Amino acid sequence: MSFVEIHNLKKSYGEGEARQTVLSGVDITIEKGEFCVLLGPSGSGKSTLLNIIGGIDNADDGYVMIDGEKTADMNESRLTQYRRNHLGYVFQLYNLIPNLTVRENVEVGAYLSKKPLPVDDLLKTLGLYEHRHKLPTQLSGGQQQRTAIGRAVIKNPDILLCDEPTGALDYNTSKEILGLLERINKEYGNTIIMVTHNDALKAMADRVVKLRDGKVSRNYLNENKQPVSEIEW
Amino acid sequence: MRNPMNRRLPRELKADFGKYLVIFLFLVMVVSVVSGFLVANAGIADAYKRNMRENKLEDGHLSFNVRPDEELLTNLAKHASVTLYRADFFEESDTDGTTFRVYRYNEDVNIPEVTGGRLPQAAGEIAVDNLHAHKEDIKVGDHLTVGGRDLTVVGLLALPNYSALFKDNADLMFEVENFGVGLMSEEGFDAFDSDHVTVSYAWRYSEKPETDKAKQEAADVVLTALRDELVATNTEIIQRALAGETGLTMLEVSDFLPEYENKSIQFAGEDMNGDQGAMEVFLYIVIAVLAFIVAVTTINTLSKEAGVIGTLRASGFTRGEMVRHYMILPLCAFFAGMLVGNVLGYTGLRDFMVSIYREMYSLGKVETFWNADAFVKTTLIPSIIMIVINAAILIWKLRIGPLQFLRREISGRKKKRALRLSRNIPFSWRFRIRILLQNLPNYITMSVGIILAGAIIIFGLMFQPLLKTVAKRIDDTSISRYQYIIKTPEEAGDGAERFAIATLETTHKDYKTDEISVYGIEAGSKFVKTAIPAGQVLLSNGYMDKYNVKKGDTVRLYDKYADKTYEFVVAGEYPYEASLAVFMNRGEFAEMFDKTPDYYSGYFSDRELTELSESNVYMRLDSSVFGSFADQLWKSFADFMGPVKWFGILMFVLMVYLLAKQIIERNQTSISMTKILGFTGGEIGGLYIVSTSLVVVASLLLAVPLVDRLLRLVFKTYLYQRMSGYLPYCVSSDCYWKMILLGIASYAAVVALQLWKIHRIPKSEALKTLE
Repeated sequence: MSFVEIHNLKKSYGEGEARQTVLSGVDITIEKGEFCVLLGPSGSGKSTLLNIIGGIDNADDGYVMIDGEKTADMNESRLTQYRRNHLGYVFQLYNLIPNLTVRENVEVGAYLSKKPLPVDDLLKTLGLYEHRHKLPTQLSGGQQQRTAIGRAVIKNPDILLCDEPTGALDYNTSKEILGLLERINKEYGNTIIMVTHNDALKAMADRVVKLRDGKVSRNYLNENKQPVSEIEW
Repeated sequence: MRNPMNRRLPRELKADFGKYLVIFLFLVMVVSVVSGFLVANAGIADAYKRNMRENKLEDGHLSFNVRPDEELLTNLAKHASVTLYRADFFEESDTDGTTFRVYRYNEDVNIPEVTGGRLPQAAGEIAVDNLHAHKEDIKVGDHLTVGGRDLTVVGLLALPNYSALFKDNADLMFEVENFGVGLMSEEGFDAFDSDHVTVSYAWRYSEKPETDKAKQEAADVVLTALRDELVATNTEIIQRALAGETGLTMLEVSDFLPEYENKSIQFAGEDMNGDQGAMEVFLYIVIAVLAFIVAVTTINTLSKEAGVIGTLRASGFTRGEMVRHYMILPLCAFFAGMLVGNVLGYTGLRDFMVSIYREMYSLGKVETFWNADAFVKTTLIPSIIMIVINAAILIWKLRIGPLQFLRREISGRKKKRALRLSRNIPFSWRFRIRILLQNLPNYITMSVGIILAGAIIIFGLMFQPLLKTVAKRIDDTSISRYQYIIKTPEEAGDGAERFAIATLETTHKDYKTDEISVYGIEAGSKFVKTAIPAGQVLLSNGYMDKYNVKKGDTVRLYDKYADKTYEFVVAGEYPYEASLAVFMNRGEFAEMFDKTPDYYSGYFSDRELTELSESNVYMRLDSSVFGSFADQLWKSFADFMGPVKWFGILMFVLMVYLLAKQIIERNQTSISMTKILGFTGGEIGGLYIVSTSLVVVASLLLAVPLVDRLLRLVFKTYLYQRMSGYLPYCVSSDCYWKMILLGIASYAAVVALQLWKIHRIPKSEALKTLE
């Protein structure tokens, strides 16, 4: 049994003529510790798929099973506990708490975990240690996203879900962030599922899943995984 | 690990200090007033009850036109199981309209609490009620002239049967300046020669009835026994007169008043209870409005922090954790306000409230004490209201999933299409309409709050002009300049017109009993100018209004002395505001009340009837008597109404400030962006502040009819049923103008603060968020 099993997942939005199918029978498996990149153009359903995996959206049909447990069988509070104990989230917009310092924002994630990583060590890994007393408004976009990643990773989650984490960043900062995710995956062994529309990033993945019109158009293991530093786009 | 989110709280408090300060001040203001009031009220109620409990309060009293035989008194006491105590008094009136009633001291009933000096012992000494003394600046050692005789004031008193100084039980309001009560020793009283001595007896039951019903039944027993004795005595007098004996006077009861109907005894207690109920309702309404205001501000925070909330919820924060987090600060401000409010209530405000009561009621020593009931009412129940309303709204708003928060769809509804606005509407107005639509919940809360504050302001403003109007209407509708009620028929000269009068009681279950004057009017009266149809009656307009009587209705009135109910068919209304009255033809009056056809008991006259012997005049009513009622009523209200008005204004300012501030804060990014685009501060204010101004002005205007309806409802369903007598509902249009102008003037201060706030929003705000 794979760590993440997604079977015949279907999802539509709207009603009647306005009904729009976003996912029409998606089947994916992801192994523990894999870095999986979900690729696809806008509207292909990749963010919806990520949200359903994260338990913040529901499927119309099919299921997501994580470590042998179907998310659809969980009630609201069980889902919250599931997210609390197993998942870390990183979004395109950093959504940091504006009146907490960098360290405190990261501590918010630590508070949720029974087995958090040491905060200062992680801040050093993230290159934020010198900035730990700053407020988010005093940081650059890249530093803010690193703080957001820190908040998600400090929990030492089983799965780290990243929705276009570099979508709002420039090339160099994006590279820096992706490098960080790569390092986290390697160092802490978390499973990472990252949504991006940047086709070049498939090179850094263990598994590449391409979505088109709500279906998996390709799903393969990347035999020639490259470090981010070597990828150009 | 402690929740790191809690570290936000002090910073949040600092950043939004104005909001929490307003919540705090609001609470301090309301709770200090209400807790001070409740603590004072409990102390006053304690003093009031103690004086009645410990000082042998009468269970009722009765008065006669002449002193009855001992046999009558003995029989009455025996048949009614009561002890009768002599409680004679005389009244002297000054030229300035002040009436002074002096009782003969009786150590077995209505024993006064001495609040200063001592009881009178010798002739020429008098002790005076402490409230009247305070109002008239009478001190121990002063000399008073009563009935032309000099008396030395040796003591100040609180009489258990005069906690409220009602001159007459039919009076709508007590009189603290124009009416006073004093006490003389038995010797002093007996030596005092007055034409106006009233033969009076107080009674106390052998077995004290406890319940209201038992009290009524016991009083009925006394009344029945009195009737029987009266019939027996008068039958004997008639027989003796028929036998040729002369100089006999029929015995008549001029007053019969059980304690539970005596306003001088009951009014203070009922007023305190009524005040307390009204205060509590007022507190809970204000707290509920405040809770909604706080909830609206929290919803705005949720809207501002939707992305963060979505992320935290997606990361595993529970809904409960989020609800608690967003409730902590408002509740801290709330509880701090509660605490300070209670401290102030128990200290300065308590003494202030006691002093207000002391201006109205004559009481002995007042001691205030820790009051668990006040704590529950001012702290526990408001806290529950606050927590329940805020928790319910937060749980409701946070019911949506993390995804909706991340997408900023926090209304929980599917995104509607933007309302299409005609291009003919100028851009600036379309902008303002969008602001109105965007902030609809804020504006609705603001509107409700303004209307409530408006009602409080109007309540604080309405009584002074209302009472002036009442005085004017009493004067305008007076039947004659003078009304004389006489004890026995006596001829009067030119210009006087006879009438008959009887006093009956209303029988309406939902209302307090009212005394109704039933007038028998001469055919073709010069004074009552409306013809009264045969077999029917006219009702004074106050009677019609208060009891919702319509033309053609039948009203029932009760004669407690005869135990008889009379029915009257109403032909219409007669404008007469001095009392609640029924007007019928004199012939029909005589027939109905078993009188001889030429029976009369009073005169209408536009001149003073000096020809009537003074000792035969039971009562003389003129415009000064009626006018003083309105003055007195205002005096007893004035101390309360000033603070009520200012409270309403303060509530208005704090609430509008808080909600207007939210609108500016919510649109901070847009305001910053409009600055970047080149709009000036004034232009931005024109867009954002004009929208709020429109709502404020519209709400103030809307408050006029709504407050009118609300207060009319309060009068009709609350006041009229709880008070005897009649106070017309009329709010001077000046009051509404004042409310609107006060509202606009205080809003101007809020606008200044808003402009300053807009000025302070940096242009970088918009760019920061887009980073």
